Amino acid sequence: MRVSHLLGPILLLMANGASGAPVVETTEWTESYEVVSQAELFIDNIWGDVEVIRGSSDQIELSLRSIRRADDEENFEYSLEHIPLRIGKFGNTVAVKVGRDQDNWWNVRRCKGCALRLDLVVSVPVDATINVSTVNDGDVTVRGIRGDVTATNVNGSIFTSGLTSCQTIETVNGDIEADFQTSPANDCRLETLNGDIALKLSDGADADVEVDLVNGKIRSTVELTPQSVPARVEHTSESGKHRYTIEQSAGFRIGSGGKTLILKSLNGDVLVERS
Amino acid sequence: MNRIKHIVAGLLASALVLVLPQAQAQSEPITIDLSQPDQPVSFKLGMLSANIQVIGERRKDITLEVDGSKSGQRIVTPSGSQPISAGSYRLSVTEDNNEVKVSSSWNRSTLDIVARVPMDASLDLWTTNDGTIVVRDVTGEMQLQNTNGPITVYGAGGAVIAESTNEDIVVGFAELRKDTASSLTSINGDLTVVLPDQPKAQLHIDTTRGEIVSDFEIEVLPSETKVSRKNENGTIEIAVENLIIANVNGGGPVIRLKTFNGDIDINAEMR
Repeated sequence: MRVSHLLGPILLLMANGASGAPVVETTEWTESYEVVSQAELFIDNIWGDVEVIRGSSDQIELSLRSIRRADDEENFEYSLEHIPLRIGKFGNTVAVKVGRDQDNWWNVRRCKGCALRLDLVVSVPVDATINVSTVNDGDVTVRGIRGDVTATNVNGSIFTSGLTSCQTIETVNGDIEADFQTSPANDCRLETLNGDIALKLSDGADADVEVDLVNGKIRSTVELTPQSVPARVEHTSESGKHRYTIEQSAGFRIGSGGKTLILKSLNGDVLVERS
Repeated sequence: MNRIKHIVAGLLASALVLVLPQAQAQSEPITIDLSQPDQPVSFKLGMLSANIQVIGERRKDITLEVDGSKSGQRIVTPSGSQPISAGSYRLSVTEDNNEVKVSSSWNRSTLDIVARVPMDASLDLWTTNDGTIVVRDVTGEMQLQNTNGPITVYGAGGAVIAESTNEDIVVGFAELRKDTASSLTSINGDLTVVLPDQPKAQLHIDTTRGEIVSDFEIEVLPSETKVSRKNENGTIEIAVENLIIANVNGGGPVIRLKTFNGDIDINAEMR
């Protein structure tokens, strides 16, 4: 059941309401959804921070702050159609999405000065499955969640702590901090193009690590065992054309080894330490 | 709400069609099957920095062995710096109608690549820095380019176009086919061509500062200085080529040997 109420007044600034004047609308509110076991959170944001924290066992609670802006009233109305904010629940999944499913990005770009910044803090059951992303002007933070985590960003960093399981933690221009509370429960990929990766494992946690760096260095505050890693060969075919991608990474073992963490960065360093 | 369902359903579907990685040991060769195993094959490999070795064999596929352990990558730990045994690299290979292309967008270091191909494969190989090109027992035509490293060919059977800017080129022919023409060119490297028994060839030799040594008697033919003129974009380019044309055993397929600062050897065997 959705419970929604406004925390603060809607602030609508229109400079004299005249055409050509920028329009900014700021809204803050909370929403709460009841969930049972195996809850899932899906967030597809474009502008703004996404933070996920541990909450009660039977609810997903969202604290949202949105700032919609456009160059003028006409574009503001256009943005409502082409950059909508949609929040919903189906089954045990709560989903938040900025923008339309199939919209041409050109439709968004032609909206002059338009953006919908959305900063979220979401509390979820500790074992919830998390799949969250943002693109610009924000970081992604996930803390204290024992469920499976997928987090992506483009122009910002990703901070995680208390992890036990992840699938992908990926950004383009930002750092990654992955702090595991236990040995990783499954293989996970941590990838950035222009950023550092800090991998932290709690005392006693073990993992195997593959590292693929081009211009960076690997530094560790704990002892590691370098080890040979099998090359990965991916074979796909389409219309009679075959493509093979062969990847070989450097590797090392933390503790007695375990699931594989794949760390990749083009221009960043890797730091390994105990948390 | 339905739209949101579609988003999640789409994500799940995308995850299911991902091709799962197939683990292979580092030293194991990777086999590239050919679309038409009985037809001619073309093998192209280009990489900024690689030691490339291509070996012709009686086979109907191509295998690749890749070693990236020269990356020199190290881990700094409390007890000091230690090397990582296997370096990192990424290769992309495509096979399309018997044309196999190997490329790499980036690599941390020089790769060692050994490719085993059908003997009659045609080759197009290039590298630029810190690498070598070695070809053994390939009878198809080949185009080889190594800007800052040497090129060595053993047992060539078809046309060989080999070009190195700063290093030596050695090409050994197992046979000289009548309908072929070969070319070895360098600016600062020596050129060595090794001819088979009883060879018939016509050599077009051009060296500005080097000497020419031959194991074979050669018949030097009268030749004229060749001047070519090209007008392009308002500029005139005049090239003057002072060729020595020489026949071995009465002449045959043309082998062009051109270097600016290097010597030219015409040998009877590989040394």
